[in-house]
Amino acid sequence: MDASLVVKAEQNISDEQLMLAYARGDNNAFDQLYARHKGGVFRYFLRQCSDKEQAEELYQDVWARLINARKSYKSEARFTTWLYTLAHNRLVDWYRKQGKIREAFPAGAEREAEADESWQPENDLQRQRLANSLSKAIESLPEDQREVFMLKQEAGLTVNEIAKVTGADNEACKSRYRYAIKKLRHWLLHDESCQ
Amino acid sequence: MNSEDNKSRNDSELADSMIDGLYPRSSQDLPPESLDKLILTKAHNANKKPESGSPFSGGWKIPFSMAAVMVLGLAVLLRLGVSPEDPYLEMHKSMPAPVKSVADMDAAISIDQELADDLVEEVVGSGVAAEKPGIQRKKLDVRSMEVINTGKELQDAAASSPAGEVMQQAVPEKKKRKALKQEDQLGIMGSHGAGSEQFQESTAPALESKIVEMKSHSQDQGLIQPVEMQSPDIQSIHNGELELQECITTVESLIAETDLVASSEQLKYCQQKFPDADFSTLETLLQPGVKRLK
Repeated sequence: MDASLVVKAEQNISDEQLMLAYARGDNNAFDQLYARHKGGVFRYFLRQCSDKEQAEELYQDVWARLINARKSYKSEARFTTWLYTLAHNRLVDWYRKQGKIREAFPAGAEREAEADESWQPENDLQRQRLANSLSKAIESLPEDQREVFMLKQEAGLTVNEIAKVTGADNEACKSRYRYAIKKLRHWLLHDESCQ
Repeated sequence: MNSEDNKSRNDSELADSMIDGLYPRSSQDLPPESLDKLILTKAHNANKKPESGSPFSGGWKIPFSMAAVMVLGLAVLLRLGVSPEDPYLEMHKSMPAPVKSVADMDAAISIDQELADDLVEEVVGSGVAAEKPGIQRKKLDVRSMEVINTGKELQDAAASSPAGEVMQQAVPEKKKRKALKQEDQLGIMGSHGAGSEQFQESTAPALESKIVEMKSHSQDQGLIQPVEMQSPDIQSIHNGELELQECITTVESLIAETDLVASSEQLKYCQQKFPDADFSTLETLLQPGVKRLK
């Protein structure tokens, strides 16, 4: 039986198997893989850049790198980790090229962020407003915290995997994620448009 | 303290779940279709490239390198095999072909034979010779000896040279046997005609001039190559041998004339001139009490 037919028949095949099939020449495997991850990778860049054209360029570059490096992919590594490592490296390159270091929140803002357990969205309209506000809040996060948050939300990576992708310490990644959540909650609570 | 930690953790988890729920994953946050098509086309073409690649893509480098190494190696080997600095080759090139072919040698002999016949007719016609058959034989012998000697010199020179082996092979065995037979005949006839003083006095000058004429005629036609055209090394060796032979002949003639003083002086001169040569036979002949044949 043809390899492409096997790929079509088994929709629950893992990312790693799809990637290996593509490396062996099965283009349908890549189509399936791309459909699974295109949204997450695109949003990863969209949230980090805040510029759709720039995000599209970075997004295209990452997939081009993946295509060129298809032969070097090892099944021991989780595909998502590998994909977002490529994305992270491309993003770091872009940051370096831009020479920009953004700090949305002033120093010590983490200490000011306090959780308010009493807050809950009451209806769909309010939920939509909160979602829009959250998008803005994510854009306002510091780069390292935003990246950890995006890798957690979009790629579903664990803290350890995020540490591998970003090359940072596990504890640093935990701390960044915690601070990111706090800031987002603080942003949502104090955003006037959500009230 | 523990209750505060637990409260903080619960708050964090609650916020996490709340934000996770609010996190926007709308269709507006997807890449445009044109970008999707572009990436998918690129991915599909990447797998097609090795199959439809140009002849200069893929594994062409190894065969090309091997072919280049083989060509260069053969070129170097051939160049080493036919090196222009090879002394053997240089000597071979500098040596002209002494005899063009066996057919040429035959032609030279036949031409000389005709000239000798003409000469005999002249001599016989003048009425000087008393013994017609003897004179004819003698003149024929002289001409044949000249031709054969010239041929032998060339053959010896060719044999002594590195390329001589090839020359020797070029001369057929039949031709060699014929030359040897003629030499034997000459030896017999020479003894017969040695006493003919009349012949020597009357015909020698005419024969000498005729021989010079025939030599030049043969050389002009390229049938007989002059000895001077041999390589310098062979020429010098040949000259040295001739001088030594002349020296020995002089001593022998002096001994034959029983002029012991002159022969001893000549022998000393020869020994000085050719210190490496062996003169033991002559020294024995000059010792007192040895019988010497006249």
